[in-house]
Amino acid sequence: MTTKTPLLISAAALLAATLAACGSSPTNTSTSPPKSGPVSGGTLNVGINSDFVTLSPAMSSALIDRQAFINIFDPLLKLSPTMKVEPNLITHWNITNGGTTYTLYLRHGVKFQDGTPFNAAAVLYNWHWEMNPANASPRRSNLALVSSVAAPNSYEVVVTLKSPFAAFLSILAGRTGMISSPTAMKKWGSAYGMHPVGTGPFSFVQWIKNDHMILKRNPHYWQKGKPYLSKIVYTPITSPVQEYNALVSGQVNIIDGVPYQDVSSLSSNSSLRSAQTAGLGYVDMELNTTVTPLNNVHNREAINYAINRQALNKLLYFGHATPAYSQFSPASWAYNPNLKVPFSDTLAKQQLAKAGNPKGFSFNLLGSNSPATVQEMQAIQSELGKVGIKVNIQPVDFTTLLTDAIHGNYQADLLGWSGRADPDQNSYAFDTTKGTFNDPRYSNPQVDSLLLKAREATSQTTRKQYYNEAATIVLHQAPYIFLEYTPVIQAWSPNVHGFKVYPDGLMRFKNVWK
Amino acid sequence: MAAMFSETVQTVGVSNRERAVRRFLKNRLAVVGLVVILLFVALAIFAPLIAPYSPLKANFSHAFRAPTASHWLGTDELGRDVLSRVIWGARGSLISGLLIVALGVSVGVPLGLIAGYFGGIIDDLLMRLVDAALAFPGLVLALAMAWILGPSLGHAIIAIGVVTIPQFARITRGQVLEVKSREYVEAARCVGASPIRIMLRHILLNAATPIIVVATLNIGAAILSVAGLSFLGLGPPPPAPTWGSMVQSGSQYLTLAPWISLFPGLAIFMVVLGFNTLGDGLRDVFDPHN
Amino acid sequence: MGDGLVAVFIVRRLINLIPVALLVLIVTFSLIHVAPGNPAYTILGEQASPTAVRLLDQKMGLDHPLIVQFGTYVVSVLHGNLGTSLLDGQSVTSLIVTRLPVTLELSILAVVLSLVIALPTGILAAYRPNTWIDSVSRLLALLGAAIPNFWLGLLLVYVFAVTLRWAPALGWVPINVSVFGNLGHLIMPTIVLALPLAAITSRVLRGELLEVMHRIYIQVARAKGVKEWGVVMRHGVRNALIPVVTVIGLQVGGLLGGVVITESIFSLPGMGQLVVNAIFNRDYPVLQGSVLFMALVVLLANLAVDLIYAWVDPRIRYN
Repeated sequence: MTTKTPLLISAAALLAATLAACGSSPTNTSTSPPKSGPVSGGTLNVGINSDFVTLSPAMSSALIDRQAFINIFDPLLKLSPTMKVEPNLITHWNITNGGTTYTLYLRHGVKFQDGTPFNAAAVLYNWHWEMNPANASPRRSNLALVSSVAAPNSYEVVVTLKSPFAAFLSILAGRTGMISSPTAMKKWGSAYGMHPVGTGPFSFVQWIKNDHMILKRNPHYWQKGKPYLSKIVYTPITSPVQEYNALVSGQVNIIDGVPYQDVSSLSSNSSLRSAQTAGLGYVDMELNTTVTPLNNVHNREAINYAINRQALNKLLYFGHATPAYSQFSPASWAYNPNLKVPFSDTLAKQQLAKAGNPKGFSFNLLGSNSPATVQEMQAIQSELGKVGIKVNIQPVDFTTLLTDAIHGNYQADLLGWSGRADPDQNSYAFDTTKGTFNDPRYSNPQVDSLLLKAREATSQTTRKQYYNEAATIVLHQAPYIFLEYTPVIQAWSPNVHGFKVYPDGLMRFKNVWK
Repeated sequence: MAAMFSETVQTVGVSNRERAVRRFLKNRLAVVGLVVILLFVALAIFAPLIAPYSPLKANFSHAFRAPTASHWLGTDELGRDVLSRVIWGARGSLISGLLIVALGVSVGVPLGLIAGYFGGIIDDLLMRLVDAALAFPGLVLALAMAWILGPSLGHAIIAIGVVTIPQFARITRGQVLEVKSREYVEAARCVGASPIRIMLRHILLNAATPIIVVATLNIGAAILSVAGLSFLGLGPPPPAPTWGSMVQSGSQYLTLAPWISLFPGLAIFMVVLGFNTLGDGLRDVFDPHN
Repeated sequence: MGDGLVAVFIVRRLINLIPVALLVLIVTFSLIHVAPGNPAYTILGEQASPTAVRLLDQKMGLDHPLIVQFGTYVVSVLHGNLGTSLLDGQSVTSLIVTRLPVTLELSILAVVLSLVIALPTGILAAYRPNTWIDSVSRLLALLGAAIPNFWLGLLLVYVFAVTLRWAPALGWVPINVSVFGNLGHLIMPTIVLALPLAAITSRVLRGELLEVMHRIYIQVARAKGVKEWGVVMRHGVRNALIPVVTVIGLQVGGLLGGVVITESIFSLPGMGQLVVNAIFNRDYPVLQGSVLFMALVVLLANLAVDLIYAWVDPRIRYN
């Protein structure tokens, strides 16, 4: 900052003075409260950590796509900053028949950005499309429990489930609840992912892959007066450091993540605003329970004890993450702060002895080839090396990593999960036998039954109990080695107002102005 | 790139050896280059004795330490000693540079000899092949090959080595054509010496000096390419201490700990500079105009 | 020399280009066959599902005999069809076309900057050979050729973008949006790309100038009493510039290699980034198409150099 010209310094000082009340509070969930009211117009330049994969909610399985969806598509239900499900395009609902019938009432007078009316027929069209196996939609598994959907009238959808499913409403706040214009889906067919049309505050303009994606204000948005911005430009910047530099140098106005090394200096930087909140996501190792040597539970448990999560947190996250021991992060109501394993080389060596290889063993660790992941893999390698467990690091491209993980063609991998609002979405598919995300091929009837009970129960207290029991078993059976819960830390320039950080990390721009 | 330095390379008789050595020693830059190379060769050979720490031993609580008396070049993002990693990194770097050029010479020189000596359709065919190979940007082709074969030092060496072949084929052929026209080769042919004998005895001997110059310059270029591949993540897997991957891993901590990237990059720079000044000096020595 | 001879030379040169282009095609075609096993597995990864492999086999015609595959490949390349991206089904040709302007502008700026550096240093070094000026110029050239471009790029980012905040660190502003924004984003990448080129050009220029100056007509000019500096400029430089053009033409390949690293460091959406992304996304058709395109660019650059050379220096036509 010392090299700026006097003119710039005074301008910055002026800005700082005007915004003195806002300060920046990196440890709290905070907004930039307006000094004056919202102003319409302006372009928001957004830095995102990778390019979008597809802009069709029905076909997306990449986390980054959701950054675009949250602004192009208005979900049927929305999530509050504390991840509670709230009415949105569904204004109210009834749950009957012991939790197997959901009657959803839709908002009137909503139109897709192409003028197509939003109604029950549109919802049915989307869901039928997603449930059709021929379309290979990743949403199909979300709707697996749906036995039928019907539209008694234009603004009512009745969903009948095969069995009670407590997470169903939460699912409607995600991509399954993001309804595309049937007209556009039919018009573009398989190219729809390049021409999305939703009901959200911003409509799609242009996407040049690996370069930028442009959204513009949807003038017909159902919430009158919203949004304020006239244009959003997303620029993918794959290096976190470069992304941060782009914010600092003013090339972008807001970024979806801050390099951990720079978090502590954020508060002293008067030219930036930021906020941090506990995220839903975590980083973990997946251990393939069907191949040697990690099919031996004692070998897996040895890894659990041998990793110093505090040290990893300090080294890799500069202390901003939280050591993880389950799939339920501090942002989830199912979080249990007392659930943990100690860091102990002695306990690790005991487990190695029990496993029959007291001197240790070796395995291959697959991970993405990004510098941060490579660093984390080396840190794990170094930790495990201390108890005689030899790790061979295999950095690969992300596609290969996911393919190998899904097909179980690996010994161990380093991955992460972005997390969802309902604990069911973070556990059922991961831990139950034949679960769709069960990369470790873990199978335990007890866990299966606990997680099934948890998804069918209605009281949150009861559910939490089931999740706690299941998480305890999973922790010690160690098909996953949970490492860290990752926080959501986002930063923006002082001229961006009305922005809020959410535990899901999605940047909602409906209420933002510049 | 290296080939360009050799535009004015001329051959020199063996009898001039002593004068050449004296001339070389007068070329201060070249001598400095040779010294730098020898220094790094020593580092590579005696790495286990010289390096103050293990290049792989992480110490999380000592990560990101600035250069101090105990860590001359600081520590990296896992608390490893940067100096020790730079010293060990000399091994892979020099070995790959040498092997790449060895590959280029051992395939390229015979090809050039054959093309130049026999001429005609064989020459046409081989040289069109060389033209085609030279059309590919070396690094791009090496990237593609390294990816197809999978990341490892061996594959990086093969990929870059293959790309180096045409340069040696071309330079050898040029020298052969020049030497071939001289009387003593004609004479040897008249006496009835076998083609192979002629080639090896006379042509190769006389073409050797420019090939040595180009090879020297190419070692530098090869080391740069290998570092580039490692920088892009197509070198040997971590935690192997390669200079390119060290620069890459430090690039995420440029503001916090610039030394992680700075010193391995400096090492690449110095070694390549060493080979380039040596090659440049050798060319002057062999160049009778000078 | 009559124009007829030039025409003959051009025709001969063009005919020569045909087998070379065919060989280039063979190389790009067989790239994927360098690895053992079914190419579909090389592209998709060893763990690809049989269905995915079958689909790719069909899409890329990998289930046909090699010679048929090659024939199809040549025919489609001749039609300007380089295949489609495995990632999003976009045509590789259109991907290259959208990326080309960035790389083209960057390369032109780099060549211009390299000349701005190389002409004075090269000329001065030749004007006073074996003096300190020559030594400094040589040292600069050696330094420029030895500096790792990715490292130089990081250093520039660190010093000028992160510490001093003078230049934007990365990204791209199209020239039709903002001329200054566009040039601002290209300053550092241009420097990174230009330095090695300047190093080589400067040395070649010096060498050529020295040789030219030894030639007799310089002596003649000198005898006529023209001031020495004027001689160097008028006769020497003009004659020595021809090899400089050659050098730059021959450096197009090296330049494209540098582009790959430079664009990925500075996040410039050009051809180089396309190649790197294709590699990390396992998007083989895009990689193959880009490599072929770059090779053709190099071939054409070499052709252009030869033609210029032939035009200016008639002796070459006999070689």
